Amino acid sequence: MKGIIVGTIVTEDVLPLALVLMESFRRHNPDIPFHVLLASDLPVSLTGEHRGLKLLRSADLGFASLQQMFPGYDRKQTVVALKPFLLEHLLKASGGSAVFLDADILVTASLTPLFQQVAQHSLSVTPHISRTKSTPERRDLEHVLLLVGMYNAGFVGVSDREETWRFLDWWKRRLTTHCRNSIREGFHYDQRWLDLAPGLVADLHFVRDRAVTPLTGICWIWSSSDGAKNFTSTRSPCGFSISVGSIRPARMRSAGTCRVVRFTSLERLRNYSRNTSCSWIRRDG
Amino acid sequence: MLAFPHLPEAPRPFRVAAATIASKSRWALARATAKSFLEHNPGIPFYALLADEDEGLIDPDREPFSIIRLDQLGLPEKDRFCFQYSEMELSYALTPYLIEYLLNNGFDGALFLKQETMVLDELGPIWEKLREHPVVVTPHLLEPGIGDEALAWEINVLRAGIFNGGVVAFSGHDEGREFLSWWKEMTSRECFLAIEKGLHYEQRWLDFVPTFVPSCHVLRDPGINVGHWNLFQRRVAVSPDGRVTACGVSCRIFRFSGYEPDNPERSSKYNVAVTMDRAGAAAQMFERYRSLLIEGGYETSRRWPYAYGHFDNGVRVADITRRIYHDWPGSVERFGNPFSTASAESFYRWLNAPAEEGNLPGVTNFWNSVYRRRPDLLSKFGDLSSDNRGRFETWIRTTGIKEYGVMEP
Repeated sequence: MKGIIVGTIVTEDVLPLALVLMESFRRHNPDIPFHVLLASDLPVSLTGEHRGLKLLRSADLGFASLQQMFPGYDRKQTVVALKPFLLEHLLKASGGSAVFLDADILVTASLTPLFQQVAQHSLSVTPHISRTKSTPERRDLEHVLLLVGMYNAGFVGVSDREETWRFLDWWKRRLTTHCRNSIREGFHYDQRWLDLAPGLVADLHFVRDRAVTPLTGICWIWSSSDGAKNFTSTRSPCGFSISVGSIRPARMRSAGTCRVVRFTSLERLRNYSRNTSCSWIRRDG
Repeated sequence: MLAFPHLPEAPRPFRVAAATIASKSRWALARATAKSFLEHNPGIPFYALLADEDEGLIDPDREPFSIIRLDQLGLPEKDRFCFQYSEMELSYALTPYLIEYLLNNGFDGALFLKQETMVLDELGPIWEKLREHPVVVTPHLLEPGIGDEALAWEINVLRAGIFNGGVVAFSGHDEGREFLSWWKEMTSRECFLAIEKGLHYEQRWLDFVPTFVPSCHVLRDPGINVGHWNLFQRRVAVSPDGRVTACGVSCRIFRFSGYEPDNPERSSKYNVAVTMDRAGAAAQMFERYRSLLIEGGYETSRRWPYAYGHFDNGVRVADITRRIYHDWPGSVERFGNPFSTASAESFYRWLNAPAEEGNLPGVTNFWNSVYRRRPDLLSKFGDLSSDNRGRFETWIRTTGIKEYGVMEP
């Protein structure tokens, strides 16, 4: 497998999210570089707590000003719109593959199986759900996915191929002008644009390994399908709640080894930190 | 004792069929699709599902294809199914039912071609993939776009569906069957255009194919599914011997979504930008297709009535009436056959009865339902139990009746 670099994007107010992700990622993937892109034009002074952090600034990606680059975007839009720019930057640096992980993720095992898949394809995405089921909850979820997108943009993998660069160039252009959250008009930030990928990318790979994709929607599925006692759920794929204090990945029977747990709010991350050795959040939170 | 040597069985042929769906008024479109298909794919049976009742206007013996009737599909609550949808919606909603019907009746693979299709070559690439995959889908767009036109079409496709519901094929594998069952469930209730809910008839549900069918094949062939929405990316050329190419490969399937023979200068009612003078060589395809429609009796069949277009007393069923019925929980149990008007308990009688909700003399259930579904009316007239009711009644007489083309309250 050629080189691979992993990265995330945050604004300064949620930098602790990236730090938790980085710490958990490095614990299980010590040999793989992890970068954090700070989506801010403001100067930031890092403290000793940020040791080992490879912090990228927008200038490293060639932007004089994010405000000028994305006029009218709020913080979230800016963070999301930077995704293909970061992937392109990481891909150039690695010469092999690059992976984006949303900052609200905790890595709980080696991601090598995932990276092996990424290296073999132009673009790798992970569907929110994986099979048909006939339950009212599932019907609600399917309707939501029609609005927010088929694939979870919290994980995107790319490798060095001609069509990858074409796709990233296109995605950059679309997110520069249309990274909008207007589901009634067919937009949902970067994520709905990914729905076009099956047409635009010939070598598109769907990561279906449930052990490496317990992202938001998938966790929700597990909780309802397997009755895992450690999870509770709501009916929204973006609003599920995890009783994080009792998470023991090995106990997620259907998942085998859980490699990624995704959180949806800082509060849940704080809860997690109280029960783990993860120190960053306790101090910053 | 010597046993007979085991003789390998001869490979069973992979039996395929193609099919389309049309109501009577669109029957010439089914004929055009069938004729062009059979010309280039002789020996492969073609079927047309009549999303209507023939009322003696169609003679099956004179068609070069087999006709499937609605009653053969085993639709759940057929009257409800047909009442809740408009003519076009019904045609679209039946797609998974038709495909499943073919797979249940001896075919290993079934290709659905939506009306408004012209086949220009043999479809070997589709059959080939269908042997290996449970589902073959064809994306609307195949290239990352550049420029404003591309952006506009990409947004359009995000709303309408990544894959074209006009060319989709299934084989009998379990994964495909499972998807068909799910798709049937979806189109049995939600085959509408409602962008704000993410719905676009039967088509947006196909976005789930890669999710639910891991072994599906996304057929990215620029010669399949050429249409007004991708002409800006797919250069069409016609050689002196009449062979048609798109992006240099054989143009096998050309689609004419929204084409109106009465307005031949325009490629589609959905696309004012692509007119024939801007379509290049593709303009010849529209002319060919127009000729096929005329040969297929377009001028006659377009006037054929829609059997599910009116109640049994002859009163037209407005689209809004269909939606009111669709949204009514337990409509089948309460009203029985919604087309029937004889019973005092019928849906028709209910529509014309005084509004059940509130004290609204002079306002029927129909108009009360219209009022409740329209934010603009809610905002304009406010509480109907007050003096506003008179203004609303005036609106019904002066505007509402014309707008909905319905009976007087």
